Amino acid sequence: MRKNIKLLMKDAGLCLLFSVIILYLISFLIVNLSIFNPFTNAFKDFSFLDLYYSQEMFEKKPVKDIVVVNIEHKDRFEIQQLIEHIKKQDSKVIGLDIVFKDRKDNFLDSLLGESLQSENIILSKAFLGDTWAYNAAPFKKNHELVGYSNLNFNLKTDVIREFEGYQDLSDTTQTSFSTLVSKKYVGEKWEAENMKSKLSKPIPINYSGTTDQFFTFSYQEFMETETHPFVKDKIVLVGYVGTPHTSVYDIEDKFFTPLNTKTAGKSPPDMFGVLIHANIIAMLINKDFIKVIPQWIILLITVIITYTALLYFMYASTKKPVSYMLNKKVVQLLFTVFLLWFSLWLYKNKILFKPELIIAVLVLSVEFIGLYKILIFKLNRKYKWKSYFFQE
Amino acid sequence: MEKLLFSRVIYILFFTSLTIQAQEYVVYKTKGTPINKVENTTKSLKKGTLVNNGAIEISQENMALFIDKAGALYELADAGSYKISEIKSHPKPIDDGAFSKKYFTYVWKQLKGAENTKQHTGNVYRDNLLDILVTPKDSIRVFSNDVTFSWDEKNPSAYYYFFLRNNTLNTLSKIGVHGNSITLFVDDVLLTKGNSFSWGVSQEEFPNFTQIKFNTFKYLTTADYEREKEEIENLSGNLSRLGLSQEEIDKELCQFYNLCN
Repeated sequence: MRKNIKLLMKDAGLCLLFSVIILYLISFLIVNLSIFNPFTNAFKDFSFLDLYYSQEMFEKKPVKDIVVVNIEHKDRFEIQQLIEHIKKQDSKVIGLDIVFKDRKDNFLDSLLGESLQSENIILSKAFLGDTWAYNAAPFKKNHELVGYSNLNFNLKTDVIREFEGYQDLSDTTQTSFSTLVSKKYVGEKWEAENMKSKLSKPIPINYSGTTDQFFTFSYQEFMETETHPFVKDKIVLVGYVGTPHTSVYDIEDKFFTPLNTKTAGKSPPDMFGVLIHANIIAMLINKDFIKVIPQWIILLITVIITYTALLYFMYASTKKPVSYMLNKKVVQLLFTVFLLWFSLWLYKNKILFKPELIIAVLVLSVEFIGLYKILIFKLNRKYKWKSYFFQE
Repeated sequence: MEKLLFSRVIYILFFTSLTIQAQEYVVYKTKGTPINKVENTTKSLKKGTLVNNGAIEISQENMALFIDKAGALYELADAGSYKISEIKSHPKPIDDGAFSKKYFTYVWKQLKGAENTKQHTGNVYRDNLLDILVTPKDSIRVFSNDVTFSWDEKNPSAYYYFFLRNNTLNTLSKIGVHGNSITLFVDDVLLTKGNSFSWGVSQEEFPNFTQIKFNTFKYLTTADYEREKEEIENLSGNLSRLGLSQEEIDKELCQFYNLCN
């Protein structure tokens, strides 16, 4: 009996190793062979946790500290008028998610440049891989008030799930636009050292929502009202939110986010860049971060759960061969459904627990028991390999 | 004893007034044209409007969502008149996701294979918004004693209905006119300074207003104008120094500054 248990434990361990090797080879082939490109592309942007947003399981609470104003396709003079109008409302910080890359009209440029010099205005620049897109000379200001507007530096996915507040670019540490806006807004309460170490690596974005959760104004809506008392002491972000305002058909400066109603397959991008910045800023100023479960814990859980499942199914395949196949399918399905529910529940409670690895390894390892048996059978015949399945 | 009672009354009154003052809401979203009535004045509620006194009037099929300082949402959706203090008793339940229900509904749909795509029709829909409006242009500010509305119509005997909507007071006026223009003079009836307007024309007496083009303009008050005058004078001076004639300056101001004569 004890010998049987020992053999079963050994077989479960070897089957787990065998499955991991096969899985690694399959994933290696899929990633590197061009014939599998459609699968690679389908999976690279996929995450089970996107269901949390795409199926609207999140709390749709309005964000009261951030106002977004759409510049539509207004010219520089109209933007200057908008900036002056925002200034009159005594907002605490004004962030411009716009790069005025070239000079256009000396007079209008100097008017706009003058308007942008206020200390509470944060400008943006863009890192284009090997060069920078800066504001032209009339719009230059203290570099500490200009942040990069790049949304993520992970080139393996097009979905904006993570954010980096600080990046070492061009031999210097650069600060992101959202970080600068948040820092300016929080003021002395900004824990510089703590935040710098936290934001120097990619962190998941805790999305608050899209246009429905933010105060968004079209250019005309904002300009036609003389005073906006509620804007006082708030953050005003100026950027592009579609023409006409919040148009779903306009994809200029629009990106894929977990809020996209389609989690996989073909779909148009879903969120304007300035709204992604607004989500990041809302997360930073409210310190509403998502805690990430380290990869080593995920690996450990994967090994423990898969090993336990293999012990049970190897035992069941010999003792209850009739119900084994049915049980296997039911358990695979239920395990996947409940693990996903559990990880989504953790996500709701601000803990990021990625279930993909556990689900893939467990479901496929259990499927590989048959293949493992064939391998062991051959080893047993050739080398008298001792196994739980083939005993004298 | 009387002194003690009096001081307590003062104390209660003081804190009651503070509580009333603290009742301040910002309009988060509207449907239709809900109104804030303060004594004899009314103003339509728009996104971002701050309300702290008077009454909110909601008509049939109108709705207003408010947000308070703490970020809580309140909804007035039933027709009626509400005091500011009553808003607090209409909290909007926040959609907290009904997490598990939504998740298992999604799983069930996946198991049933019910996530089918929609019917696709290969055509495009175009509305019938014929833009024949000439002046005043859309989204401008006006400061003069009269405004001439003109539209593109060659036939001088063509009969048009001219519609002027006061967006501030939420009123609509209709005037029948032959030809392609009409001039209105500032008064307190049709054109009131300080109000925002939309205007449009149609050859139908009762057109579908979603199917005709409206241009909007804001009629500046003298105070508004004086406030901006200095800025405009500086701008005019700069443009003049650049060699522009007065006519060209007026054109530039109208085009870029939305301030038209």
